[in-house]
Amino acid sequence: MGPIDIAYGKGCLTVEAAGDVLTPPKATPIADETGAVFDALDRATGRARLYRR
Amino acid sequence: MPNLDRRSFLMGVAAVAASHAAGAPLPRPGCQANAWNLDPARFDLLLTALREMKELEFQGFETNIHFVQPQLDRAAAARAQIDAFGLEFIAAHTNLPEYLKAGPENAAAEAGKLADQAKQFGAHALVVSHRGLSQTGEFSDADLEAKVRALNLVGQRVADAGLVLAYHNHQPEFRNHAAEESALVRLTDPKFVWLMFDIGHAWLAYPDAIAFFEAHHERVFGLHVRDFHNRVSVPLGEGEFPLRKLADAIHKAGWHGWLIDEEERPNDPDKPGKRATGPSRRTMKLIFGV
Repeated sequence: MGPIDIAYGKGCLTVEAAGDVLTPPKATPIADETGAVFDALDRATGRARLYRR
Repeated sequence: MPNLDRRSFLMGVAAVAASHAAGAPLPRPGCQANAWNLDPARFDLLLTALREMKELEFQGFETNIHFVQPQLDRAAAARAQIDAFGLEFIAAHTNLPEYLKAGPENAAAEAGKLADQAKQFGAHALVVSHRGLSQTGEFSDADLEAKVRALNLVGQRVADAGLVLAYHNHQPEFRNHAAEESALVRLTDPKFVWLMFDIGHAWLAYPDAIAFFEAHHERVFGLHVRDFHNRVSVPLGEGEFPLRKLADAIHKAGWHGWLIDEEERPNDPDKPGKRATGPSRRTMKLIFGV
């Protein structure tokens, strides 16, 4: 699979081999995503607030 | 590559081959659009996600209803754009409308309105989430009865709109030995209330989540499959969730609902898109044969 241009936010991301390169997990271990998932559904943006980084 | 040893790989291939040989219906692979960076004001971003799902050979998609609602004034045209990808719109996802203060009838009316909206875009189901009755899995009979009544009424109104109501769990429903989810399955009307069983969330709170699926698969409209490494979400096959055991349970049950890859990263500023759904899709083919 060759490079693919993917719309991301307001820009465009070129992925050389889509799906083949993984970003290592950066998140702090989270015991329960329930609040964030519910938040994403509840907010007009469709995105949860960022609670932890 | 998915983190699978040779034995697991061979067992997966054997199980898939057995399913195909028997002509048994298989689950269908779907994808939650929340793996992508979406914006209610940018319908093109949802379409980009759908194009990439199609490239990955998913057959259907689920999305937060917020990402289609702004298109209601051009619903027919938007639906045509969606349909052009050849993906089925499995479900629009929202929260269970508030029913304690508003009353279950008003909650049902609100859900009916949302189902009517979702149907205009071709959705088959309305999926509703809820925070759960308590964080500990301990709750009163009165609270349980109120939720059951609300779900039954909501389910009837969603059915009136021509859609299926599927209740989506998080962890709280599976705390205290799956107390709330077990009660909901026991007390809600199976004609009107199905499950969008998030077995990833369930497993974090209740290690016997696969046994729960085995016992109640007839109520399961769809499965949200996830994987976790040290309780952090990772693509399917790269964590500790027992996917092989789930595949065996699905095979034995003959369950053939929607098997939906969910790669939401609610605590990350950027969604992974294909970086997660690509590897997960490969794992789905390998482990589940779909």
